[in-house]
Amino acid sequence: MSRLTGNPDPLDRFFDDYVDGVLGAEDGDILSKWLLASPANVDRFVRESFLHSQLFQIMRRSEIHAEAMATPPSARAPQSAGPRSRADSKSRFRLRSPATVAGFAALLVAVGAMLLAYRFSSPATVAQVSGLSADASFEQTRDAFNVGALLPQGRAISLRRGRLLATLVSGTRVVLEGPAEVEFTDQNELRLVRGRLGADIPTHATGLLVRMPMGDVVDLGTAFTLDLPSETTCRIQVFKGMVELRPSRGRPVRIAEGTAISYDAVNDREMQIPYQPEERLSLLP
Amino acid sequence: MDGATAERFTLLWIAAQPTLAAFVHSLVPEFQQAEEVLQRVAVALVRKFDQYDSTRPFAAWAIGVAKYEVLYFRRERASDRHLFNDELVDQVALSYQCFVEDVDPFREALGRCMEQIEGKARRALELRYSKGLNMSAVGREMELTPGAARMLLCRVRQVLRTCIEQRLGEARRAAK
Repeated sequence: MSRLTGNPDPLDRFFDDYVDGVLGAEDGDILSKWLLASPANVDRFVRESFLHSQLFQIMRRSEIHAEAMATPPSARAPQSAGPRSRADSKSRFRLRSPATVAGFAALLVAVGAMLLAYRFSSPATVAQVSGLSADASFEQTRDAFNVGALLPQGRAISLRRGRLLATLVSGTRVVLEGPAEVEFTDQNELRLVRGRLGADIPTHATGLLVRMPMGDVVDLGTAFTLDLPSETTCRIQVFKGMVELRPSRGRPVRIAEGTAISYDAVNDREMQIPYQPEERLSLLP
Repeated sequence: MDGATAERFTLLWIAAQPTLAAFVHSLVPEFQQAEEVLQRVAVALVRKFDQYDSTRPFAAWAIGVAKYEVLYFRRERASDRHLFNDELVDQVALSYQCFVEDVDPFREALGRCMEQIEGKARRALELRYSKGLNMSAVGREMELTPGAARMLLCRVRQVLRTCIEQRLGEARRAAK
């Protein structure tokens, strides 16, 4: 396709500038008046905006597919989330694209698996996906974790990179930062296998339980970040309230607001580390 | 919401989410704000799901719910400059509700048209949409001025629009 010469229709440029976020105020007024002039113009706007969103989805999906094809699963290394531009964050759009048959097939497999799982049991919904960062990618198909997706009890998430915000039925909001693995085990309970997790717990939901290989973390009315780099080490930063670490072996440790510890399960030893408020996780990197 | 209803909702949501995201982003251009509205829409849909008439398209019903979330969000931020007034928001919602039936053919046509995009046109799309670069950065990567990069992307999208319309027209004629 090579018809890339000639000047675009001025109206198309208004649409493009609008969806690219660079439309000036004066041109914005012109576009607004033009849209109000006729329902047919609004129909055209709808198609333009839909095209734009689909391009984000298709191109993003193509990139993920290309990455997956280029790298054998065993060699895939997690990538850290770097700073992203505003425009980049728009790539969060998702779709089932006819152009990406593999992705669609993966979605069907996921949905099929969900239905199969439901046939044998119907676990209660314990959380909902409330947000995803632009660079979020999963070991599983991403479509199962679109914003708004409900998470049944026992649902495991392997976040390869990026961040996921989930709201538990209790009202607790947790941000997971990849690479991380977590299982939603109950309405106010999680199992963290590895990775970083930030929790913001409203008063009525106090008592969030995070299970880890080396013990549990219980919130006592708080906001905290839990970093689990290995099965035997964790770091906890407490921004509000108090957290109790309950090692599988050893005595419980209470961590107060404005403090942070590192815990070594092999030697059952906790150590004060610098408190860093900037470690508080939010959806934005 | 019991397990069966939650499962049904999830399947409907997965299918409708791209259209809802496009609708919300078309009216709330700032990305983070749009995502917040989309989250509110998801919550509202769960709460109102018992009111959904399953004989009607889910996406069209969901857009109706999303419209109110958009309007409410805009009122919360009354001091912000909104390009579109409430009347236009209504019209865009109505148009999106009608467009729901065309979404699948549109996507199919776009998929086919994308297969024909190659060379520098493909590169420009990758940089803009996959890498998320702004016009200046796209221009830098392609050794173009920002204005030339913007023009190139405008033209690529124009080519796609024309191709999609042709394919949809052919499909309509074949169906007659």
